[in-house]
Order: sequence, then C-alpha cells, then structure tokens
Amino acid sequence: MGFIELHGVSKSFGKNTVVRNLFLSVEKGEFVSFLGGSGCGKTTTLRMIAGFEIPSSGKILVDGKDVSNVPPAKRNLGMVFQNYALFPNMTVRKNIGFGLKIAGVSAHEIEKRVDEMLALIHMEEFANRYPHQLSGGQQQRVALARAIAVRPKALLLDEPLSALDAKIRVRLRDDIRAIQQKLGITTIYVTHDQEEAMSISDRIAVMRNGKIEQIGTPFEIYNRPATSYVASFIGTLNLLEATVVDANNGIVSIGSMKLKTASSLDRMQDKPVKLTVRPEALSFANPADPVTADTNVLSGTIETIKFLGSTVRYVMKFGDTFMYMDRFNNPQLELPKKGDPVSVIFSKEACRILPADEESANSLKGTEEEL
Amino acid sequence: MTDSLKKERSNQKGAEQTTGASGALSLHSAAKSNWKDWLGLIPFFLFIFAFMVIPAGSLLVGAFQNRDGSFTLINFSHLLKPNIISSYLITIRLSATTALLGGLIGFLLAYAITIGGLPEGVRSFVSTFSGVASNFAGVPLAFAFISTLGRVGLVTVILKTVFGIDLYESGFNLYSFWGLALTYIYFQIPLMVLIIQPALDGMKKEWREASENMGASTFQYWFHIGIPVLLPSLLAALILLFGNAFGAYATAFSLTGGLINIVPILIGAQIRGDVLHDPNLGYAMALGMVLIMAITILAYSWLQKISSRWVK
Ligand SMILES: Nc1ncnc2c1ncn2[C@@H]1O[C@H](COP(=O)(O)OP(=O)(O)OP(=O)(O)O)[C@@H](O)[C@H]1O
Ligand SMILES: [Mg+2]
Repeated sequence: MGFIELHGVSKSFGKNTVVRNLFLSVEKGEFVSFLGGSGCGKTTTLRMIAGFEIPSSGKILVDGKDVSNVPPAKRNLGMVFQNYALFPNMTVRKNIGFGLKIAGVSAHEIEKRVDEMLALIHMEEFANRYPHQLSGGQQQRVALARAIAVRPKALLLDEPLSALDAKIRVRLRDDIRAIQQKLGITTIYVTHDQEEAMSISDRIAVMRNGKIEQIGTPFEIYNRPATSYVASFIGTLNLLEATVVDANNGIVSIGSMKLKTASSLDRMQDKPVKLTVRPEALSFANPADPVTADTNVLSGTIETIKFLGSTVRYVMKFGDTFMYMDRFNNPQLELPKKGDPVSVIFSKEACRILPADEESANSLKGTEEEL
Repeated sequence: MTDSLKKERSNQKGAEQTTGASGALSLHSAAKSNWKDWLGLIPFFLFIFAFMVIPAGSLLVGAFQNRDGSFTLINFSHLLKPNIISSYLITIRLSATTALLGGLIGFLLAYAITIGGLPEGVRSFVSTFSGVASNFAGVPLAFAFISTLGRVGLVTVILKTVFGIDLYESGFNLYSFWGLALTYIYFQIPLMVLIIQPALDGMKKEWREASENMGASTFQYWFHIGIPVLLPSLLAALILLFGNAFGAYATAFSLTGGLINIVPILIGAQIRGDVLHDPNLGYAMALGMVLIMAITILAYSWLQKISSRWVK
C-alpha cells in the first residue's frame, strides 16, 4: 500500500477530459516526477492531490485515508507553485512562519522552526527581506521552506524551477533533492524537463493525454521505454519506421537495409514497427572488426556534425534514413565533413522494437528541416 | 551545496552592483540630454501655467485681500461664521459618505468581475459602463435623477401607482442630503470600479491557494494577505473618491439649487455676484478647501507609507 494512491482518478472540465482513469502509488519517502508535454494533465493531477481540483471520478488516498472530499486546508500537504506565490506583504520570515501561525504554534516555537528552515535553505541573512527584494531562485527556496515548515505529509511541486534560468535551475534542483532526502519527505514533482526529471527522481511517470504512459526509474524509462512516445520524449533517439521481414530471427527492414534486433517479433511478420536506437549506442565501424551475427553495420555518408560540448553528434544519412550518433568529445578528434563516407556499427541488443501505430513526441521526421 | 549557495549569493551581489552601475549610467545620459528634448513639453507647461499656476496664485493672493486690494485677514475670520463652518462639515460628510458607500459597492462589483470570475462578457460590459458612468455628472446627471426619482419622476410614480409605495411619504427626498448622496454614489461606484479593478487583477490566485494549502481559512487569507495587499490601493481609491465628491459643484447645484449648501455652491454664490457677492471671501473658502484636501492627502500618504512598506 503506497503512501499516496490514486485509484482510477479522472477529471473533466466540461466535455474536455484531461485526466483519464489514472492509477498511481507513491511510496513513503519516494520522489516521483510527472513528466510530459504541455497540457497532458500534470498540473491538474497534482492539484487534485492537493485538493484544489475535485476528481470527476476515482479516489485519492494519502496515508491510507481517502482525502477525495477533504478541503486543501485540511490535507496537510505542502505545495510549491511555479512562481508568484510568496505573500508580497510578508518578509521571508513571516512567509515561512505563516503555516505555523495558522496552526496556532507558539511565537517562540515559530521563531525556532523558521530559523531551522532558513538554515536548511541557507538564507539566514535574508530573513527580513520582502519577496520583491529576492531573486527568482531565492524566492523559490523560500517557497520550498514555507511549504515544508509545517512538516506536511508530502510535498507537491508544480514546475518550481521553470521560470528560472538554466544555471540556477540545475543548482536548485540538486538542493531540492538534497533537502528531500534529508527530510525523507514523500514528494511529487511536476516538470516538462526530462533531464530534470531524470536527475532528481526515484521514479518518473511519463504522462500523455491525461494518462500515465509509463512509470519507472529514470534508468528503466531511458533504457527500456515502453512506447515510442516515452522513448522519444526522453533523451535523443533514432526512431525509424521499419517493417518486420523475419519475425523468427528478429530482422526488420528499413528501406533497403536489413537490421538485426534482439526483440521477439512473434506474430509481427510483415507488420510495420518502429525501431529505436540511442545515438550513444552507435560507433564507427573499425574495418578490422569482424562482423558478427549480433551486430549491425551500416554504411552511409556524413550529413552534418553538431558539437554539444562533452559529446559530438554526428548526423548521418543511410539511403533515405537519417540517424544520430553521439561520441565523447576529445581534443584529438578529427571531425569528418559533409559527404564523407562512414560506416557505423551497433549491437542488435541496442535496437528496441516498439509498436508502430502511434505518433511520437519528436521523431526524427523533422531531421531534414532541422539540418 | 553550501558552496553553490555561496556562489549564488555572491552572484546576487554582483548583479546588484551591475544594476547600480547601469542606474548611474542612465542618470548620466539624462543629465546630458539636449535642451531640444524639452521642446515638446512647452505646450504642457504653458497649459499648467495658464490654468493652474495663475488661478492658484490669484486665489492665494485674493484670499488675503479686501475689496480694495489691500492686505487683510478678515476673509479668514469670516470662514468661522456658523453657516460657513456647517457648510464645510456637510461637504466633508457628503464626500466621506459617498466615498465610503460608493467605494464599498464599487469594490464588491469590481471583485465580482475580477476574482469572482463572472463571464468575460459581463466583465467588459461593467468596465465599459463604468468608464461612461463615472464621467456622468453635472446637469445631465441631476436631470436624470430628477426625472426618475424626483417628486414626479418615473420610478417614483411607478412605485406609487403600481406598487402603492410612496417614496416621498416614507421619508425619501431627492433634494435632501441623502438624495444628493445617492446621486453622487451614482458616479462614485463606477469610479471605484475603474480604480480598484487593476489592483484586484493583480491579486495572484496562487496567494489564495498557498494560504489555503497551509491551512488558512478564507477569513484568514483576507485578514493576513488579501486586505493588507489591497490596502494601499484601497486608500488611494478612497482619497480619489473623496476628492471627486469634495470638488463637485454642478451636480449639487442643478439638483438642489441652494438647498444644500456645500462649499463649492457657497463659493459660487460669492463669486458669481448675487446679493452675497464677495469674491475675496470666495477665495478664502476655496483656500480652505485646498487646505482640507491637503490635510487629507497628507494623512493619506502617512497611512500609505505604513500600509505599503513591502511595496517595491
Ligand atoms: N480550470 C480549467 N478549466 C478548463 N480547462 C482546464 C482547466 N485547467 C486545466 N485545463 C485544461 O486541462 C488540460 C491539462 O492542463 P494541465 O494544466 O493539467 O496541463 P499540464 O500538463 O500541467 O501542462 P503544462 O506543462 O502546460 O503546465 C489543458 O488542456 C488545459 O487547458
Ligand atoms: Mg502545468
């Protein structure tokens, strides 16, 4: 039994159903992220847990109790909003102490707890500032402290970092994770930033169209995506339209190329599928290497090179098909030019076959315009 | 983590220094600005001079002169006559009453169309109507009220004949203090809506939700956040409404003639030159109004300072 549970929760606004029959179980102390594109229902789901939206159907349990009909003020869940949520008329100290004051905690105790919180977010010297005298990152720190000062049962965060610039965002997300670990507080975190979700979550729920498409650890989600939507939403991916030509031996064709996969393709003979392979799974073929039964070798030409810092991304063309390959950067690297012939190799285990009958978040279709 | 925080803090300091520098820069460029840049303002300054500085100056001078133009304080001692004192009192009472009542109703209306979440159509209708109605004053407004709520006004007659309610029998009188107040409230309400609507629009939904999330009731939200945040705007709005009623002349004059002697009407009588004709007393009375308004504004800015410590 999870600490926070959603049992078949749905939400409609008028005729528009935005959350569909959602099931989720979050363990005590766990950090779960809702990840998905805009409008997929992340915020709505979080707001239902917080109590700001009432589910159209289904049940929400917190700590074993059905809270579906409990007003937000009585749920004791801390919430951090995207921005603008600090009370502008109160200092940092008053903001953090607000929940305690409402709860009737003594002034002395509030003082003590606020000091603890200020130390936790390393903002002791900002205690008497007003929100408008703080940077966005500092405001969100205070918002976090304010949310956890009342020792809520769980912490809910709705894209708390999306209004901040990239550097602060990375630093603050690590701080959030550190504080979460220190307090062991159950946390649900909404984001549309896959890198953010992967770096701080115990588990990620990838959402799409009001449903959880897949839930798992960042490692599972990245390496074993269940659908091509999940696969393409997270990280960079080669997502290719393929046709099964030899179901028994796991062989598919892409144009005139034949590729070996480790997937079982039972009953898929001659069916269209999607083949995915991560760019980091590819490497240049060394002519000395023997081609084994477990590897795929493709020959084509370089289309362009994207320098990404720690890695270099080669965009290559094989027949009509574009593929990415990522290699680590090093200063000795000799970068090929457009049109240079290349030969790449990747194992059949690196290829994942996913059902074809769905659109994906950002398939490689756009590659040609991108170039 | 501590290190990264320290870094952020020092960045913060750096950022402050940069803004400081750019602030200095912009000052510098302002100082360098060419005299030609000011040319466009000439009509404005001429206007101010002709219609504010000169009249105010002659008012100030005139208040200290007798009919022959020599210096005197006699005009001010006349201000202490009971009828003039009571005229000031009734003007203040009228202005304060209509500011408070109009302010309250206008606030509720503005609340309904902003935070209250009435449909967009209602909202824009109320806004547009307020824009028009807040400027509806003077003779047309008085006439409109006389023809609806006067002794033989449409509403009065309908109430009497159809519903058997006799307004005037039951104590109402359009040409009394409350009749005049009612008429003023007609333009005070929409004015309040116009002034306070932006402030209400600025109230973030997240404040309400954050307070709720921390266990606060609706009352606690308004007590700790809503009212304190709105207070500076509310005070400013009330002052504006007060001043708006305080200086009104045409509406009162055309509605009640001389029945209710608000100060502007008395001043008018002194200056227009009927039996009472004494323009210098009129100037002194006007100066008295300026003084009252000045005191009100001083009190206001003091309250404003207290209530808006947290504002940028
Ligand atoms: N109060 C509401 N009334 C009507 N429709 C709503 C309401 N709140 C959300 N929606 C709709 O529900 C859908 C899901 O919204 P939601 O805010 O949950 O998405 P999200 O996943 O958080 O997206 P984003 O990443 O843009 O924040 C959207 O299509 C939105 O327009
Ligand atoms: Mg959202």
